Amino acid sequence: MTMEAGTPEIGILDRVTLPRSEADPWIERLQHQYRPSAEARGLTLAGMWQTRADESDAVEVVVLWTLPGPREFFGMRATSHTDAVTAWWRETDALALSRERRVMRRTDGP
Amino acid sequence: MTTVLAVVRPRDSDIDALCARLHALRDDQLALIVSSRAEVHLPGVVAAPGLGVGAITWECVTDRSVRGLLGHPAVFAALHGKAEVETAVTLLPIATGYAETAAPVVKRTLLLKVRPDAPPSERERFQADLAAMPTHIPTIRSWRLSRVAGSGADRERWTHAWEQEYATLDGLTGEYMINPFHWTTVDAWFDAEVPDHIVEPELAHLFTMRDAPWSRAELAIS
Repeated sequence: MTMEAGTPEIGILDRVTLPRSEADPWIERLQHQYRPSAEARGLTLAGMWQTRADESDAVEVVVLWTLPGPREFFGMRATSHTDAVTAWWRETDALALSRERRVMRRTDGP
Repeated sequence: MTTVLAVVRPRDSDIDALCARLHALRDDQLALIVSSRAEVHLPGVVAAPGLGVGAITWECVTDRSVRGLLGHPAVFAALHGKAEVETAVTLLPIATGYAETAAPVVKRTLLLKVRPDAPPSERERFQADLAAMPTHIPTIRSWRLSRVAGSGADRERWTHAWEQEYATLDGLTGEYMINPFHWTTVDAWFDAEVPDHIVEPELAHLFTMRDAPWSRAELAIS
């Protein structure tokens, strides 16, 4: 990973609340469908976690992606309207109880 | 007075002659054109075919809406058979900011469309985030955020024009792009991967060199 001097690393946090029975299959599909195309667009998967949701029969999946800096971010964004990406989130949203994505500036970097 | 913003492409590739004809409209006594800025798109603009390199942005302050302006005999004569109006809108300014800047400057125009089903509260938050950019990004000098009204095919094509001036091109391609307020906050409205984005994918990201920056009075009457 290259870090431009003076520019922060970017984190992209996806929080997806899914019915408990759907979580593992969705994670499996993310690994095999979304992740390869995301990595081809410059995203690095930093980690994925599962935690409780407000509903007892649901879980929240938290996925953290990183990018070296804003130029790589906008390079990734330039290809975020493809049919494959759109279809992935459309299918996810049909399944998910809620979802959000936050783009974050790293504050403990150089 | 209103401002009409158009993207015009010369048919004969003589882009300087087209700019000269549009500039000269200021001298037409009947056209009632207060100012007419015709500026050539620079390499690096991002837009649909016809709107990008090889075209110009024409910014015209007039007493007419876009239909009235393009239908005026003097304007018709300047364009007919010589150029295509690729898109044109009347600006309905929401907010402006003036910062005295030495000439020349870089003028950037972003044309965009907010989804028709976007809730009014989300539109207002989006507009507020755009209008807050000059507070966070010091390279933005004078600026204008407008809703737009088009006619014909342009009626549905765009909803907003977000215009800024910069002292240098680096102010746009550098600080504007790398500033965290841009990519943590404003870009979410545009990002199709963010569930509550409201801006359609088609954008026209246009920039030109400008010999004379906006004056305070020019922004005030727009």
